Amino acid sequence: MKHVLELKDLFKSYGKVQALRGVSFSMDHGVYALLGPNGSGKSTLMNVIAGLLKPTAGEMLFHGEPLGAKRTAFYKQFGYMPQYPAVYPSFSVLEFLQYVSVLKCLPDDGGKEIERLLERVELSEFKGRRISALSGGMKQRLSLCSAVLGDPELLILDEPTAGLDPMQRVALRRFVGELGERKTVLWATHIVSDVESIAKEIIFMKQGVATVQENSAEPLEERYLAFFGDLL
Amino acid sequence: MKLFAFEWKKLLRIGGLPKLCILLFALCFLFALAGEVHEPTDGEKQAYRDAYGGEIAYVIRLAENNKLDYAYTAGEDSYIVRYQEDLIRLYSDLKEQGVAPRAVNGWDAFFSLSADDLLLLLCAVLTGIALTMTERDHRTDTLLAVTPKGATVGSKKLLVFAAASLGYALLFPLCGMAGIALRYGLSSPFVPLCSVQEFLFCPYDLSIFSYLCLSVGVKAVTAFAVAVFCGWVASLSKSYLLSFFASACALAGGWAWGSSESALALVNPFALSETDVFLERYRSVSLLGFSVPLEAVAGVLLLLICIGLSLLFTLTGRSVTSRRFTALEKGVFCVFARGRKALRGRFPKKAPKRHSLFVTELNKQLVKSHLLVLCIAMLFFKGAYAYSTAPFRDPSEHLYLTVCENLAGELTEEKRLYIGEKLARSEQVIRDFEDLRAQFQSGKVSQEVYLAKRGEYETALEEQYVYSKLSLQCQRIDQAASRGQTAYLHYDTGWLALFEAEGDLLLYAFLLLFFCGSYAKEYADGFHRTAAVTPRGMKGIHNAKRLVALAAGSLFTALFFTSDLLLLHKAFPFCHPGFSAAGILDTALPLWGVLALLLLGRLLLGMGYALLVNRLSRLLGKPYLVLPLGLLAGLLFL
Repeated sequence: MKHVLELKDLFKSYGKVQALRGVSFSMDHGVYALLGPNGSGKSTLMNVIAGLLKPTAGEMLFHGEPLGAKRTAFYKQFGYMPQYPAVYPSFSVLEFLQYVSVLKCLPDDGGKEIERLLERVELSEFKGRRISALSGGMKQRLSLCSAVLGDPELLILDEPTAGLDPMQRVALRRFVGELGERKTVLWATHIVSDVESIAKEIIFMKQGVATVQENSAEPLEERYLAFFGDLL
Repeated sequence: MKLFAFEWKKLLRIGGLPKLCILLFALCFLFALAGEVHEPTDGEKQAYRDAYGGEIAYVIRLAENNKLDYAYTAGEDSYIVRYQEDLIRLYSDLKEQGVAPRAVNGWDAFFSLSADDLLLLLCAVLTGIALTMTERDHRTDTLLAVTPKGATVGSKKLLVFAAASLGYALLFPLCGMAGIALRYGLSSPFVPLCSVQEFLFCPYDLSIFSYLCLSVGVKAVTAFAVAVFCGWVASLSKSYLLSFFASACALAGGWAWGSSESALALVNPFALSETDVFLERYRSVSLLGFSVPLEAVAGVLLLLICIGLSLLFTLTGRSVTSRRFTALEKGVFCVFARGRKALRGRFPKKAPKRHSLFVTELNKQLVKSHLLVLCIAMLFFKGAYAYSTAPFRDPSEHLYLTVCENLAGELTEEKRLYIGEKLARSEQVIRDFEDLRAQFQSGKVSQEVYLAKRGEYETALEEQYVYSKLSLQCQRIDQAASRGQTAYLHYDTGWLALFEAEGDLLLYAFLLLFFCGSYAKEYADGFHRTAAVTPRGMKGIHNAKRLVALAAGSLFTALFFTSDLLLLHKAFPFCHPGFSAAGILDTALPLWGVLALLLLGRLLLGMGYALLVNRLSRLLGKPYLVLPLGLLAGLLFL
């Protein structure tokens, strides 16, 4: 069976430091939570999947095809939301999303889709406003919009709820949960409650090693403490 | 085109950059309106027009003479003979076509403007760095890296550089023209270029308008090359400091290259942005013994440089990820980091010392910000630059030194007579040889006789140089005597060069780079707010930064001045420092006293400039806003 994304024995080292040590797992439609303390290799793993870093060894397959020279085709089906909002403060909200649409080769410069997404993340009334004038939470939602734009098959979200108020966090969780029904979402976070109810599988990262567990009825916080308890 | 439009928007919305460019345009206009320009009087213009035909005829005659001389010494097929043939052909064509200057107004003043070229290059540097750094500033590298068209953004940036360069190349001359038009009025540009006195020897039949179009094109391409180079360095280093430093080095290197003796020295950003130098007279380069016009060689080289840099810029943007950028930066400084680590390992850890704010600031500005590396690099650069452009004592100057040392001391009647006789004799030999050359050309004298006299003629040229300089010294000594001051004969070339030298551009560039980011870190990290609510407030930090500016300003001024002094002394020794300076300046102080005063003045200027840049940084915060204003202030200090 061909998975949406399959990682096989990924290694990444920075000099003598090994950030990833034989990471292997596969993802299909659904939300995958990526949990781990600081320095466990989460960001490195996401950067390697996004192509921002080259793995030292290992292989990545997208729909069974190796990800190598076919990066451009892959990026047409890929959305990435970095930890800090990657936006141009001098652009207006609408201008920025149109720019991302052009970068993503979307027809009609995003057109209706931008309107729909802005409505979904409650930014419609701010579409003419300069990004520099937006609050941190608004920028975060805009960054999510730019990642989701073009309806990508694989979405990587790095701490997407940082800076959001409780209501917005719930709304975002619901939005990502809906996306997960037909897309593959990898959600990296420190806040276990964000992913507890929507994650299909939990990927625990510890010292560069990934351990995948099915989500279960057992409280995630307890499982988290059980897994990382020795680090406390 | 859509991505190009977005890139253009990014450029126009970079904080402060458009306003800064408007300010620079306004400055260019003001320079033209009130700055120092040369507009000849009506009488001078008439005299110039009357003399034009004679001047061209003289050039043709001179080229014919030279051709004859070189044909015997270098051979008929040599480059130098071909060059003379080119001269004869080009200027004879001009003469036959009846090209002659017309009455013009304002154009002489316009072409004597030079500030606009510097401002143009400055805009190109700022554009290249600021637009490339936008992605780093807003952490959008990742956005471009993970989108299908993100890799093409680099090529769109190149288009923006090209459009902006063309805009700058058009607007700066227009601002200059507007200022001159208001000041003197501007006549029609559809007259021969030779109507402008600077282009007396322009070898081509061009109108002022055609030249302006050509000049805008060349300036635009040069500005584009500079912008792409700066953008390339910025995309590699992802650091404002390294980008501005590399750009300053490249431009200073170009300038140094421009001051060298080579014909290709004119292929540097400063000369290319001026463009006047290419058409003020005919210049050519020897390619396999053939004489090729310099403007053609420069054009081809410039295009090749543009293509090469554009390729580098595009490839760098496509292939390098953000992680590698920081690795490069780390690579530059890792040697120091290792050294520091090794040193720390050798000595046992001491209890942390409490430093004064001055020491902390010095440490912060010099060591922690890695400016120490730049300091060392800049000092090396200064040394290399000073060494490569060090004055050279040619045989005539060597003879002058020997004669001066023999005659040094009080100017007696005997010495005065000796100098006068020697000068008259050498001038007579030169005149005789000119007559002999005329006879040789008309076939009255044989080649052997002509060549035999040539050695004597060359010796006379050297002697004329020496004794005319001594004669000038005698005049200055007489003037000093009339003021009641005693002056002496001595070897004065070094002293004259020292006292007449302008400020050190490199020093001011260095101080500007050093202090332009004094407050950038505080503002960027919001530390100024934290410091403001401490008992000592920002006042203590301001004082410490000012003290650092004074200390570093004086130290670097002293270092730069000393290096110049040593190199000058090596070429033109500073003899008899105890003699009165009355023969050079209007003062009875000894020469060493004037030297001490000069050093003091330079130190004060250096410290003042460092303080000014420090203040600008406090007011404006961002280094790219401080740099242009600091540069303009630096020109005033020079």
